[in-house]
Amino acid sequence: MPERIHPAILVLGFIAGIVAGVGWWPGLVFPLVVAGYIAASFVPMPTPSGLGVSMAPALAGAVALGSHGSPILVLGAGAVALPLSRLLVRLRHGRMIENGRLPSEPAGIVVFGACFAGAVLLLDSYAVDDPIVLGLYAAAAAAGYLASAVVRAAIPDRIAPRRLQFIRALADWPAHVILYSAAALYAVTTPAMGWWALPLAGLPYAFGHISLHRLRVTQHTYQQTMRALGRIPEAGGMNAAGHAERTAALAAAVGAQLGMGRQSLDRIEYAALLHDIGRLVLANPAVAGGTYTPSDVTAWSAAIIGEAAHLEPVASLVAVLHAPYRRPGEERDPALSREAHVVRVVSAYDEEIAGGGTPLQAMETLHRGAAYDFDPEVVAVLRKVLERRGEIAA
Amino acid sequence: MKPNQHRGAFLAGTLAVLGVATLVALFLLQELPEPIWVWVAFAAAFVGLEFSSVEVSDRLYVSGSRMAAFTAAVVFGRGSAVLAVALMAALAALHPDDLRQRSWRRPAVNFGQLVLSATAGILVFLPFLPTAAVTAEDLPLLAVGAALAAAVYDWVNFRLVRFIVRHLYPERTLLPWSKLLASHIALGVLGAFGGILGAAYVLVGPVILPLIFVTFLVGQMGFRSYSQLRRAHEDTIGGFVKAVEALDPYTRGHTERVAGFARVTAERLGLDPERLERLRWAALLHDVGKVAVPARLLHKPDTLTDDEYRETLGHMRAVEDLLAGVEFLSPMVGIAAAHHALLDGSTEVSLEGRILAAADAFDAMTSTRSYRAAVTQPTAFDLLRSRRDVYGGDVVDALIAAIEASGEQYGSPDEESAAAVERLVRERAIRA
Repeated sequence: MPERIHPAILVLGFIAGIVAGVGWWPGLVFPLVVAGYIAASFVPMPTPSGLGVSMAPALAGAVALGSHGSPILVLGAGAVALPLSRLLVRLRHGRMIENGRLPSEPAGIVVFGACFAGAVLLLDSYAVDDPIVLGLYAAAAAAGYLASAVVRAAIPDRIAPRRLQFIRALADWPAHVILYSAAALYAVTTPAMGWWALPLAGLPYAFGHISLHRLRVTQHTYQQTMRALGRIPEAGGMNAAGHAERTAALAAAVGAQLGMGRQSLDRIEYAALLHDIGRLVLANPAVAGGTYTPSDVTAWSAAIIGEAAHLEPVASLVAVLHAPYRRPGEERDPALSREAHVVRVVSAYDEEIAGGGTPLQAMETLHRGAAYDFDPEVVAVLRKVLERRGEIAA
Repeated sequence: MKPNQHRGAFLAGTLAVLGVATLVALFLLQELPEPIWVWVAFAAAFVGLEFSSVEVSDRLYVSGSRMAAFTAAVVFGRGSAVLAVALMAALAALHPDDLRQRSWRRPAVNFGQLVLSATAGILVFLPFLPTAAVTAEDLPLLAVGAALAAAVYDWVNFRLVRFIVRHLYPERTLLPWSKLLASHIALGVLGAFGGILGAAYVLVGPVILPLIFVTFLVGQMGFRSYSQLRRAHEDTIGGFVKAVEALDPYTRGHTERVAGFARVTAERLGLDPERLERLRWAALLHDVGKVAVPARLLHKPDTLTDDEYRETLGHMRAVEDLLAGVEFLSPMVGIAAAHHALLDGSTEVSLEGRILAAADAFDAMTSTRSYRAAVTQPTAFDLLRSRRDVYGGDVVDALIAAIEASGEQYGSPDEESAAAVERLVRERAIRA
């Protein structure tokens, strides 16, 4: 998958779009749709992943239904609008494509438009409120959404593996459903209601937009809070600076590489952020003056995390972090989750690094402890993740 | 039966009778809604939406049932609109939780207020409904009429709910005006939307309903997730504060007591519910910074030197800065930090900061610490009065008045026992 859209593809698409648009849709319709695409691509909608989508899929949906599935309007106007909108981005930010990467949204719209227009061509008759047409529309929208998630996962990222990016992109389905449904509502009601179709489609859209915005803001705040809580032992000099956040980011990447789902990844991230919060107990002189073991720290951490009822699964995970993968002469404990092993391995790796070791030295320590202290499969996956990040040589 | 229960039973009975009388009158004056399966579908939507109101903002709940009511009114037309909606509202009184608890009073109260407010709202909407089939030209009138009728619907509903709450639950705080206004606006918009939606249903057909339903459902899921996450967030911070407090045996219960003193003081000073809520969080967070203070300083059995005091404040500020980086906590941490600034002699401190500082000082004075005994309540009041220039005369007076009004006694019971505890504390400090 290319990191950038080749300029030749943009230029060819632009020319083909102009020729087709002017040939098949003379008059103002084609330029208006192009202008609409450009404007829509600058109106963001919040999404759970935090990456956001623009209004462009909604416009593509409304145009597809309103033009009876005309591929010229959906795809041709998009091909003309894409380089123009990129040009505007360049004028504004000094570069043609944000972060030098292929945007996933146009790919999704292309797949949606191609699927819908292709399916409509196979139908003998077309009515905008025909349930079959709306069914095709929904299927094409789903294909477009999946295509944009696949493209986003294909974008090379040093930190997050492809699977993690794909899982994050899939979490954005509510935004796609709202955009495509509101567009269909507008297209279906316009013939009978004229401009009144706009408030009719606009209000459900606004309701969805506000809800996703509030959800995104709260998610952001929650993540900020968890990070702040994870850093408190560091502020008190009880832990290496940045240990919690580095462990959380790396553990999530390892978990995703191991094929874990979204909920597991969330648990891993929160457990990694808070696994050392029990060190705060060391502020108590009775404890600080005595001796304590790593299992004491995990028990204290689990007790503090467990004070919040909804974090009980995270507390249970943290409570077993001290337990080795397998004790000599014993079978491994099946009750210990793979999630706990991930946090344990990554935390040990980061502690070695924070202690002044190199990534290779830290990996050597983990390899020495593999099969007894650490889960060998997790260690192997950590190595792969570090190789991809360029922290150790392949 | 207590007088309040008598009053409750009478109120519930009266409202139920009024509701039944309204329905009987509507049966006589209106036609039954037809086709009946369409009414059943709308009634299911109305009840479902009424039971699943969403928190769109802090303590501001909005239900889409108003929208369903006005959509149904347009679909069934003048002849049966009021009866159709009043029957839907009557069904919405049967909440599964009440039925499970075999409670009759709340369903009776809800039945009466829902039927009466729905009837009033749709009666106002009737003149706006076209006499013949709906056309696109009727849309402006329908939208305006539905918005107006929704306002009446909401006004009657609000008046009835307020009347009921005032008489049955006098201890409950009613929503502030800003929230009510936002609620009226949101419900007015939903009503107008319901009117347009009803016309769209008639003009285009039922195909639009799944499209609307899907969009609203996703939006509702978003609001629900937001609401759950917000509670989880508060739960996380609350749990952390509790855990931190448990670390220090001398200050156990301190944050809860300070939060309590701050609340009663702020209530006397007339702070609105939003400021009260912010103050509660600030009180809970005000000592979080001490988790980063080294044990040798936190538990020193003697007064801290200037250098030690500066070091302690430095550690506390490091944690406050961390938490202030969280947007939601920033104003609360600001208040909590302001009370430390007040101790440093700063004069630019908010009212909330001064309330928190006075509440904190009062609790510290009336609690025994590792280096001194608790003073008696009158001594603590005298000490507070002597610091009127620090906390503000209004804050000191309000705090003292609120504690006296509560009838509670804090600190050592008398001077003699305070002196005895002080001797014990000093002896232990010397041994340490």
